[in-house]
Amino acid sequence: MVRFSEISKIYGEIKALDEVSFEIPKNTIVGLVGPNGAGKSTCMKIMAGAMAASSGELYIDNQKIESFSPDAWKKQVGFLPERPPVYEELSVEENLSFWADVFSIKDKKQKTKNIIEKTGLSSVLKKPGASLSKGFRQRLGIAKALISEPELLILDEPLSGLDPIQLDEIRKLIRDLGREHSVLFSSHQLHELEQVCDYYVFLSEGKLVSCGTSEQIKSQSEEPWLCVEFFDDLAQYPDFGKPTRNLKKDSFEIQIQENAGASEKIWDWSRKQNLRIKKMIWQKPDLEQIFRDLNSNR
Amino acid sequence: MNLAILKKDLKLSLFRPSLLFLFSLVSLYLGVQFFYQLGLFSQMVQKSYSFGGTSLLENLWAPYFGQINMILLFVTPFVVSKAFGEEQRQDAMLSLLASPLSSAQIVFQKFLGGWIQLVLLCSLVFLFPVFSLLMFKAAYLPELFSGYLALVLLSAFYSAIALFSGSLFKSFLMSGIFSVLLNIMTWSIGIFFRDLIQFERFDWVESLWIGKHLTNLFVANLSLNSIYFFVSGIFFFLFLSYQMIEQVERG
Repeated sequence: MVRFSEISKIYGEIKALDEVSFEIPKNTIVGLVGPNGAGKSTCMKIMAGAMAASSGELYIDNQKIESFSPDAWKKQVGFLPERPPVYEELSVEENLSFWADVFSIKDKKQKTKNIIEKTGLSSVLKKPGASLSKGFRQRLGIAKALISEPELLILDEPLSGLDPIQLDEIRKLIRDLGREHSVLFSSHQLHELEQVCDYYVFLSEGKLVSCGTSEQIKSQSEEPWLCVEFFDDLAQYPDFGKPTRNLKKDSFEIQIQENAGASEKIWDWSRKQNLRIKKMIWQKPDLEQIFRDLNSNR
Repeated sequence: MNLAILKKDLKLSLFRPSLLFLFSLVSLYLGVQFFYQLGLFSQMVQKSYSFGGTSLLENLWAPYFGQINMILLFVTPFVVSKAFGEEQRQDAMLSLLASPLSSAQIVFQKFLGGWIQLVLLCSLVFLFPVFSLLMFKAAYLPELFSGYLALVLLSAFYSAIALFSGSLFKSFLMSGIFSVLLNIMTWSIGIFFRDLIQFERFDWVESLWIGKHLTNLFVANLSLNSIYFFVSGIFFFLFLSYQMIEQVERG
């Protein structure tokens, strides 16, 4: 398990990260979410050891990072930056061989071979980096991150700029990797993460806004909205002492607990008003809506 | 010691057509210059029967070494200052910082990668003096060694400056220009003190002037002070490069 404890990063007068704390459980895929400039990349760079934190502690299996040698620590963390490192003049095989040398990997040939199979790079092994498609570049970046067989994989925006087929392939690859490694991966598009992640960490303006599983976050969110549409125009709107919005001539939305007999109340009210209900739909906020609300509330 | 970056840099650079072209061009130019100097030297030798002695070291090699210095001053930034920029361009710098390699190891290997290329260039253009030594059957072997040492140290000095410049700017053009300016400054400061202020009053300034130390080595005056000067200059600029990587990249 990796624990990020009250980590801050300050550039001059700007706080890129402000006492952020969260945990990454073993063999879990954690989505790091936030708008651009939220501090996601800074957070990942600190975790990968590419950047120093201004304050705070980082723990791996309850041991402070300082208690590891830099060599041991960095071998436990595999890092794919936002743009994957690809030496364009070197072939895929040579690229991986170089990173294996950088990480002083013993039994380089066998390990490289395993990773190539795992990441589906066999068909482009001899191709130079310059000729790789975006999808294969991401695969090569992920293969590079796996070279030291790390406990934790950090993937910064691994799905950005991919076409739908590549997206599916990389998502599947990440899901597979999540069975053997803890994975932290970031995106500013939540729908990309929802298909892969077990756990979410939401950052905004360098601060931790919320974290937990999808259910935990949804349960903390506000009440759902009930959308009601009528065949006729309304002469007046209902007043149940609850917030209402999107008031149109023939419809409205009301924020009300799903289990509080709300729909019965609406039926009764419309019968009394002599109105025919066309449709009535509960709109539960999805994660994207919740995060958007959390972000706008800040 | 992990030398992965050095090995990769040499593999990528030594077969790069632009570098091979540059080295060929420099060798050709210096070859023409050397044989021109050789012609002048032959005339001097003929005249010397009536006007006094000539020295292979002072009349042929020293001017030639001076020309190599001028070439290195401009070629080194081209070869070395893109060391970090190239890693940035290939999006690999961040991954290197996240690797078990320390910033010092990264800087040192980048320096070695650039320097070795220049040592190869120096060795190539040094064949001309070796040829003249064989031709004249002169007993100047220690002088030849001293000249080679001077060029090797000079190329390391310029490489360290170029590397520092490369750590300051992400743009290859900017780092190249800044590196050339720094090289010129190391020369012009000494010339300024020598010609305008007179060294007699500023002995300590003279000891910081690259020209004095280079001339010492070119004329086979192998003083430890001159070697110290180059080695400390090299480490000074490598330290600055290390600081830049630590401060700017690692934050």
